[in-house]
Amino acid sequence: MVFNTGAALLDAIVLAVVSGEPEGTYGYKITQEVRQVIEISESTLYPVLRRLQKDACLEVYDMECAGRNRRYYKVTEKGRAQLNLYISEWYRYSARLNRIFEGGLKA
Amino acid sequence: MNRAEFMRRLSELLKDVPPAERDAALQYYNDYFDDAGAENEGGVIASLGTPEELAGSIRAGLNDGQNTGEFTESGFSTGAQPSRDEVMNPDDAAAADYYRQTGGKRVYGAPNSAGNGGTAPKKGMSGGTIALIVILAVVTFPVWVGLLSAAFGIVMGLFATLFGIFVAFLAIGIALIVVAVALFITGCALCFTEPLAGVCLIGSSLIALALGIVFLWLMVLMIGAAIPAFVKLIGMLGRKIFNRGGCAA
Repeated sequence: MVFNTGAALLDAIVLAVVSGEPEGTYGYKITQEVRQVIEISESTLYPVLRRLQKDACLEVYDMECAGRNRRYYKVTEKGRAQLNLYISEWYRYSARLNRIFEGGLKA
Repeated sequence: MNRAEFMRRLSELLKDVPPAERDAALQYYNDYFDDAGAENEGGVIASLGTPEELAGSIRAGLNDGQNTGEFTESGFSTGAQPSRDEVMNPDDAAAADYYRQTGGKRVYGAPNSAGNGGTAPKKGMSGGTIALIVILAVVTFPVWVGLLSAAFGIVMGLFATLFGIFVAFLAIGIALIVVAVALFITGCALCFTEPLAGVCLIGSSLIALALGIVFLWLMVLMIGAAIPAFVKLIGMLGRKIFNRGGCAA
């Protein structure tokens, strides 16, 4: 991939993936979904999830599944607000870039 | 290395991190292996890297905020990168607005017109200090006006002196050359009637010419050396006076 995904964008992607599951989702599934859109190593997401959890954007709970406890991640109110902020910033940012690119093509 | 060995090694490597953090990380990767399924065990181990690398990534994630490293799609990088924007309290609408304004502007590096107090960072003086300096400048008005006048007088005096010397040298030089020419003509005329006196006069005229040339040469030296030095001196004084004035204003 040509473009680097910075920490804020990675946070936004993870928040968006997790918020897609109202009942919460788990690490392996989050990783697979994020890996469908950007190339990241499998070890990258744990620190991101931990940080978002520490910032109270995500909450965790354990639920029994197939005879074992699985840890689930769920977006909090704060996480949702943060995600909305990221999304609106992303639209502004990408709109500016598009303007430049389209202007550059015209010239 | 199989899953059990991998997890045992990871647990050993995380021995010195807080137990809650270690347990959380170990549970996460245990879940990860479970969810990936036994058939993908080898692939997961290969893509997680060595236990040492994984432990490093977990450990580095613990002290976020202190170090400036960042997680990107290429893993953890400790390069000097701008720190991530703080997560904000969603109730704080003002903070969100501030973020939008500054966040947008920071990208382009434009001056921040919204908030931030509006003081230029290069002015280190507080309002009180500036007021104090203004008051001091007003109170000591007679003193510094006197000092400034004196400095101005000295500079002008020096300039006049130099100018006087310059004019004097020029006049002496020209006078000596005129005298030399006159003496030479008179001497030549006298040679026919009184040869001795005539030769004496011609000799005197040559001496006068030499002296005249010496004075003119001194004058040229003054133009070449003294005047630039003088101009530099004035510039230096001027800068000092200007700086003092700038502080007072």
